[in-house]
Amino acid sequence: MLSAVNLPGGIQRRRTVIDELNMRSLFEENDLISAEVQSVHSDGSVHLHTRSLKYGKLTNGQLVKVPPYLVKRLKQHFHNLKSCAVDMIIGCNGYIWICAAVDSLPSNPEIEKITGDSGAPEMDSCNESISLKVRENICRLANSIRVLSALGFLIYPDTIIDTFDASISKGVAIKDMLGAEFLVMIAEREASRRTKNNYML
Amino acid sequence: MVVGLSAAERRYLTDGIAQGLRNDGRGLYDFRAFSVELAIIPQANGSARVRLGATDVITSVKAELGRPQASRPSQGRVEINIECSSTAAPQFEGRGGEDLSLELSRALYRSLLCNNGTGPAIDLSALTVIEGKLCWNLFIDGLVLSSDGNLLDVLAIAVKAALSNTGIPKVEVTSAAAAEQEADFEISDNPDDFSGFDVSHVPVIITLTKVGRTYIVDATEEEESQMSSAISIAVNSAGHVCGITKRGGAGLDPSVLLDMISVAKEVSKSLLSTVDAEIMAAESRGDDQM
Repeated sequence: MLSAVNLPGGIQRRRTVIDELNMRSLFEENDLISAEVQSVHSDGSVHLHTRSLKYGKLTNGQLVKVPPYLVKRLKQHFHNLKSCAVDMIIGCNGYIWICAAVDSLPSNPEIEKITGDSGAPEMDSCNESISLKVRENICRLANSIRVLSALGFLIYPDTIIDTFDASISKGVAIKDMLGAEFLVMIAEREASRRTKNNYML
Repeated sequence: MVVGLSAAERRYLTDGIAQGLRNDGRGLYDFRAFSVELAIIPQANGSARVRLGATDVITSVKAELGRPQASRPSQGRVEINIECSSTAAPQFEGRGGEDLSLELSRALYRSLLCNNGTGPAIDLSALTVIEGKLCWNLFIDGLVLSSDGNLLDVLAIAVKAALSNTGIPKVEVTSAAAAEQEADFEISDNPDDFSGFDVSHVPVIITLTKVGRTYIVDATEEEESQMSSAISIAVNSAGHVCGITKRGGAGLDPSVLLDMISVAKEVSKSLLSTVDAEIMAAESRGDDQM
């Protein structure tokens, strides 16, 4: 059920029945969106809330699913990795979205459709195709997350970027990151780090 | 397990394939790493488990004595039966996996054995005990435990591994049989007396999935959901094509078909050597444990 929409220009409008019926032109089944969970009701329904324009439909990237207990609780869920030109949204439900950074795509001011609650930043960029360099970064980050998930390590931006840098510095090809050698290497790094900090393993 | 892809994710996937970089960083013709375990079912004559990414299958070979067919008195029989476990994927719940199971069984049978039971994979005349009266019948069963795409290729590898692990006990014929009488025979219980199979002729199957205008090898379930058509080609170590199966609704230009066959031939060389290496490694692991 729709409560309120943000129109381009930032005007807020209360719902009408027409808006609810026209939702399908904005969102369809299987669409991927980012939102905050406002409340979970006893019958299992969830109320979602997109407080600002940075939430909304997700495009130009891929989703990585990890076990939710590996995601560290942080204040910020949206991360921008400038060196890779990549944005990351780490969801507490274990869904991690990696996409090309929004400002790296050529912006198209004429396309300012209503996309529900997402305004200018994440518009329906059908015509944007991602360069190979950015795509490689996205793949490498996705594989770093998969490696951490396979090893059972806590997932948050520092560990992800650390694994990412390790794979680059050791010259590991992206497709070899999921092989046994790289997994062993990352596990050994973590083990030596913990003994140095005198953590109990 | 794919719940559903949004339009944006689908576009990302197909664009990546068109650019030659897939979602997990593989190139178009790269296989995922796989592991082979042998002899996991001790009661069977041979068994293997193969894991490729999240795809997991078990195959077993059981040998039973029986009468050969009248039309082929000097050959044994082989039957292949694949079952997709209901827990492998949500669409297999209840009887949903039956169609796929049948399709996989037929495709494997056609590629490895050919329609009349003769074929490149197994030398059927090695299965005879007494010509015309007694022969070994092999029942190859496969179970798909978990599906993340590319089931046919993995099943072919698993069948090859199970056959390499198969031991047929020696049969001693104690009394020569007259024309209609049953022969007396004794099956040796000695495990060292088992004869194995030469699996060097067993082909591997390479499935090429066409997404947009490019074809990829070893598609994950996500990638398979975007395919227009797929061709599975069985190639043996001599580089000969042993069987071809086509899936999917879109038609293919014959020149595209020929190109896909040559790609499959190329890829099969490295796959065959990897499969042989993995099977040998699994055998040595098993020997170490004994």
